[in-house]
Amino acid sequence: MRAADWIVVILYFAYVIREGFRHGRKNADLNDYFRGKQSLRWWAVGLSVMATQASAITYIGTTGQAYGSGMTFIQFYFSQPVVMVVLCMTFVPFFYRANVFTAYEYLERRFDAKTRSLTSFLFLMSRGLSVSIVLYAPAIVLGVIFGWSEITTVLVMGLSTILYTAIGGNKAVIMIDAKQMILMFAGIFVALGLLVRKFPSGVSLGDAIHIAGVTRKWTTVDLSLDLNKPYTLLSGMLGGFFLLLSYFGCDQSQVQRYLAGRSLRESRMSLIFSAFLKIPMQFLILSIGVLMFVFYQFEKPPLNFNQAYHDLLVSKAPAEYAGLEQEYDAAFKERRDAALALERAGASGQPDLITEAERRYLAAHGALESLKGKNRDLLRRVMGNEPSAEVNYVFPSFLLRYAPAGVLGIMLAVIFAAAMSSFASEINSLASATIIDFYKRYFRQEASDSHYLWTSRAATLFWGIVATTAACFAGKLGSLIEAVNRVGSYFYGPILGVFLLAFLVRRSNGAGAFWGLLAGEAAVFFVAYNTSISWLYYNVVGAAAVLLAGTLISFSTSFPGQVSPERHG
Amino acid sequence: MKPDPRDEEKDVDREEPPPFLGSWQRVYATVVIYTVVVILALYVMTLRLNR
Repeated sequence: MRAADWIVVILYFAYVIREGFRHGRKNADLNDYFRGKQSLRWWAVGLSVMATQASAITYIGTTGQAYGSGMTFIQFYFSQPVVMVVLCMTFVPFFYRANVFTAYEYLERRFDAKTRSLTSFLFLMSRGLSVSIVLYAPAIVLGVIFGWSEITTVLVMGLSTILYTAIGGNKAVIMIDAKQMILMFAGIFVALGLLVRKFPSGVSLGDAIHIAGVTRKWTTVDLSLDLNKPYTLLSGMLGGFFLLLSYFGCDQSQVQRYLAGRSLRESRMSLIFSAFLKIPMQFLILSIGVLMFVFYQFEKPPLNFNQAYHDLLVSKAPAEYAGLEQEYDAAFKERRDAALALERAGASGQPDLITEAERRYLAAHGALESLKGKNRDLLRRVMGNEPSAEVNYVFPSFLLRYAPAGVLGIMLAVIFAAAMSSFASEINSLASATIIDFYKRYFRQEASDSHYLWTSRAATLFWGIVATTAACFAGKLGSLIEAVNRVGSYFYGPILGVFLLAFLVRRSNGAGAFWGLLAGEAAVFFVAYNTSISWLYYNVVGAAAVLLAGTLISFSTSFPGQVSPERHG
Repeated sequence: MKPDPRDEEKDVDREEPPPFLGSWQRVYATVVIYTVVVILALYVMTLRLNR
């Protein structure tokens, strides 16, 4: 890190904290604190929706994923525009007209208090347990790459975000998210520009596209019907649809964004805005990974992007690792020559030459990949367990080595912005569900605005500290954190099922919703532990099971015109 | 059975038209057509650029 990079990063932190204090002065009651007075314009809410969705892993992990296996991940987002249309037609007007603070509040009006409480509780548990990952995942990567301790990185991100979120409330979160999202967009173009400039002379963008095409890095649509493959057109349009519908329609961290819109029109427009931008944005982010792949055809990539693994092998298996590095150097030179020959053959335009150059290149690429596999086997042997994925280290490692002074600072600020915008929205939404669905509902139904404002700030502080503390110790919890995160994803489908039951089945009732939700959870756990289908389909299973069980139970426990004894005035 | 909140307060927020295209139905149709066009374009790109 050079002085210019430090200045950029320090200016970024100073700005977001100052913004939090500026908005915090205007909060007077719960409507101000959790819904930003419902005064926000569509572009600010739309950018906040996108910033909440994009975590640091979006920048660090997916670029590395594209570097290794190409663009197939983009299919996960194919259903997002359609999801936004469904939300605009159903969820958003229902929530807006019901004038709720949380999505789960709607369920009490539609069903009963126990369905609301159970759904909100599931949200608090799943989101509360997984929110630490938002801080921990980038901290572990930045820690290794920049030589910072994980705890220092977690504390810097966590405490500054808690400060501006607890003081500023939802309006501060949304306005800061919007600016952070603009920074993130700028970061994408800075990274792409940097990569193209770093290509060796004589290698054009067209050559880069050709080289990536030979290794099928541009696969963006996979028509396979294999349910075990995670990223296909089918999994994106079906599994992705249910997951994203649940995330945007039933997860308070997103619902709270668009409930802050100035009007129903502004809220709808914010989602339409995101519908148009998400796929192109993800395309550009993944393109960074593909262009990095091309860049590393001409510049030798490290055998281990994770410096800690390199150091480990140097100390624990020096002779074997040195031999592997020698083979790797030779294999890289052969692939670089093959890539240059491919570029020359492309320029000649002769099909025979091109085919021959492609064959040579693919053989050299395969040899290099096989050495990476050997390196992984060696790591596994030395560590005694499975090494973590390399994908998260590719982009930060590239930035550290090749970004000029100031640009590294900007890209670091982008990664911090991505992590902090998601973290802020999540602790803000955890606080709103805690206060609105439990504290105000069960413990203190009448109190002054000032009382609720300060308890809301305390709840934000509480969830922020819990998540930051968990992130500090996440390294020691290891597989437990991973398990919690995985299990957390089991709740999305059933929660969506309850809302679909509310919207689609007019005769559904509280008993159907409550027991249907439990039946949906049981179905998801059963499928997860007894089949090998991709996790994206769990959401379909969960939502369908709740709809089916909830409808059957509702129809068997109520008759048209019957009024539930649980009805609240 | 509880009253459906959809039946309540229907007049609270009258349908405001979107800032472009005149009606929400047209906006939604545009988004769906856009999605189909983007996926088709990416499919063509997959076929053309992958060798």
